[in-house]
Amino acid sequence: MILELFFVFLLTFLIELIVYFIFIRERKLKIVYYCFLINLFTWPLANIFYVIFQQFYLIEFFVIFIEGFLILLLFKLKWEKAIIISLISNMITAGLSFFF
Amino acid sequence: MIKQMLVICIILISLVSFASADIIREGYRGIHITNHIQNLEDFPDYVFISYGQINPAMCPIKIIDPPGREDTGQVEIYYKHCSPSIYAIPKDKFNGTELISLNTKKVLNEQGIIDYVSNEEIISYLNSVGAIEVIKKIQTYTEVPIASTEKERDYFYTIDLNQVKEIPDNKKVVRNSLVYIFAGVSILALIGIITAIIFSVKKRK
Repeated sequence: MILELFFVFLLTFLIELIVYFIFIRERKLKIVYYCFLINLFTWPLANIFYVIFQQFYLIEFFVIFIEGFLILLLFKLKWEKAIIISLISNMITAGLSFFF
Repeated sequence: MIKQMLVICIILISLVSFASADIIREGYRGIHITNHIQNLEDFPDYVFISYGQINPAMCPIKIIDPPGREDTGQVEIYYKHCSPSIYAIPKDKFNGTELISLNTKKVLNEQGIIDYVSNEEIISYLNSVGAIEVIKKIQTYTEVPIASTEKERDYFYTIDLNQVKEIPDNKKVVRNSLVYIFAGVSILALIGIITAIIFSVKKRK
């Protein structure tokens, strides 16, 4: 089970990383590090809250908002761009969760 | 030809639906629920049994704490679709061999097919020996989200012969340490994020 969870986290991280690479013009290593930190913060919390509240869409909404806010702070982007990056990356990962 | 194909389709569909009944939903995992009866010793004149309500082949009759086993008041685990009820049978009317033999007994049913004894016949037998239903439809299995911290559940019942219980008096959830690991990882990541923000602010100054 731990391995399965680790795989799901890794997949989420890699997908979001691709989106970050497409939209953010920064040093690659910096993008990888910040993307990892952001995912490491939101992914376990989202799982805990999902277990407690079972509200997938509501939790995804908060994840998009929090990740957008963190992207804004860490990469110093405009808030609209930060939210769009967060929205796209989370929509892809959330969408994939229905198929896998 | 069409009729034959229709029959084959029906058989296939029923096989598929039967197979999927055993599959755990995507993103979920199964956990066992152990049911405990806490005051069995208050009823020395009764033998307690569990029966799963569907039919004895799938959800057999089981004696709770049979002779030779330590008194635990623990109901044995059933197949996930069984919802066993607990019955108290007066000791003077209890015939263990006869009761347990109903699990494997085969009879000629209404359609003329040799089959296991039906649920109705079991209930009728239980009524004939004065069985009293004390707990209705207990759960021995449930599914939780894959990331759930729940490892297993324990339900506790205190029985009363004049009352049919439907919900446990107490519930205990045994959790694994995943929730603490998740929370710890999140906190560490948050510390990393705050450090990165402070570092970048200082750098700008």
